[in-house]
Amino acid sequence: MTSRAGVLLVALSLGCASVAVLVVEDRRQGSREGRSEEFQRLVGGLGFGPALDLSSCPFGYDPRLDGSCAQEYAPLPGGTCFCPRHAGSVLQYPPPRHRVPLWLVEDSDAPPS
Amino acid sequence: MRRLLEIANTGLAAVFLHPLRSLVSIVALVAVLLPYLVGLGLSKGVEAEAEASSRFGADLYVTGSRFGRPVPIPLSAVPMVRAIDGVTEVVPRIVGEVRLGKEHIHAVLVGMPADRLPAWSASIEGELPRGGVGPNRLVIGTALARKLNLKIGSRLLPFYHSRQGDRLSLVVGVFRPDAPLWQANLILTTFETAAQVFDQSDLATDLLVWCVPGSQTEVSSRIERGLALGEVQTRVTAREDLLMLLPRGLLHREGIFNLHFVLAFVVGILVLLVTSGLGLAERRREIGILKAMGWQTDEVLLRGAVEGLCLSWTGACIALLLAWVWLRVFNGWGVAGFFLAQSGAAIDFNVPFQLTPVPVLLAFVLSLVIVLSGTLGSLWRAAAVAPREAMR
Repeated sequence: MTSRAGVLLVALSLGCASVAVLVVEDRRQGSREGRSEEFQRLVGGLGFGPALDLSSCPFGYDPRLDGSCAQEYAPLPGGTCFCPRHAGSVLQYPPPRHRVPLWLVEDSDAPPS
Repeated sequence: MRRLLEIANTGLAAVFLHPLRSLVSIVALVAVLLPYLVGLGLSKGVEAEAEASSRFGADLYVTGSRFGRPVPIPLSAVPMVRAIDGVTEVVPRIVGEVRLGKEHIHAVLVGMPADRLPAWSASIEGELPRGGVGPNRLVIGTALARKLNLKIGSRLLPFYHSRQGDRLSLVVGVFRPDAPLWQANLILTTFETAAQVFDQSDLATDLLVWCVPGSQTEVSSRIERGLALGEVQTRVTAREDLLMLLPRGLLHREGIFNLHFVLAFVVGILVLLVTSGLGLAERRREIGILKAMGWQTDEVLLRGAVEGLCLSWTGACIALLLAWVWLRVFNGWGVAGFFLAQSGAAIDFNVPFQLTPVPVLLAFVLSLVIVLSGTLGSLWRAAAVAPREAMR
């Protein structure tokens, strides 16, 4: 076998293996999505961030449980920057934007006190 | 055309003419591309799981709020929310933290009404918890099962104090490792059991609300306006609020990508130096001989381009295969901790990842640019001079 044929063979083999990996992963993704859907329907939608438990920062686990990082106010103001649950991860997200209720801007429509 | 193919053939042969240079170039390319592909794959995987969590959850999540912080919501709110026009279903849920074992391992306890739990679930090995007398029935996450050495049928001594009395708990199921990552430290049980564990009989942490399609905004507004729960205010988080967070996460990842891009160029410069400098004298002589035999400068450049294409293709393919092995076979050992807080080097569940063609294509283009910018420059300099000069 010449060196040219050897290089071509290696390059083609690597290319075929790479395509195979992409195809296999694409197929596996379907089953993973199914499993994920079933789990989320079971628990009613749980988990969003990179934290794996609620210790000290439920926001890093799921922003539905807490609207912002629990470290923001104590023990130090602005402690979000030091929060090991989500500030230490590259997957960060801001607090969800809650829509402003209409009655906050329309006094006449305010709830009864 | 035939001549061009022959020239391209000599480019392929040139890969083996300087094996050390080719090897160093490929290793340097893999060093740049491997963390990029692994990181992007993990990041996309977690994002897909987060999107599924939002999409397959409830339309609205209603919690109590005092001093701007979340508080439990009384169960008396369930019929009030159910009575709002457009609401199709309201399910109370308890999500709280418990600590287990001598090492006080943190676990997330989730309680769902027993009638909401199906008879069987593919994401659970064993069975789902049921109400009734006897021990508390729990389904536990994979990380928790390993840390506490629990399996189906294991019994737990009471880990809580309740006014209704402490009860033994029985593990009736374990989440499968390929379920989403948030199952790792999860305990799933019935709402009644969770209420007993936390000793809070008339409260839920949130209400899951499903609405008639298109009425979420109206229902959300009516819940926030009209729910009279004394001093407890209500806060509603809609599915759309969560889905809006995902693109902002993407922007953050772009920053990470840019940082990596800087790193890529730092290493790429080394590749450039290697491809330009290693074996340069031999390469100049080789080009001089080719020129003396009648090769044109563009033909020499084509030969170098084919060689560079081959090197970058090989580097990108090897990086992709190694990234797949790292994520699939070694389960992201060592790198997943950067993405999943507090998970440690070894992970007890299948890390979510997505290897898609677009990042792979980007990786290939990046490697091609690095290799060609190193190869073509030196080739041009050598090919532009007279053959006698080049061979000297």
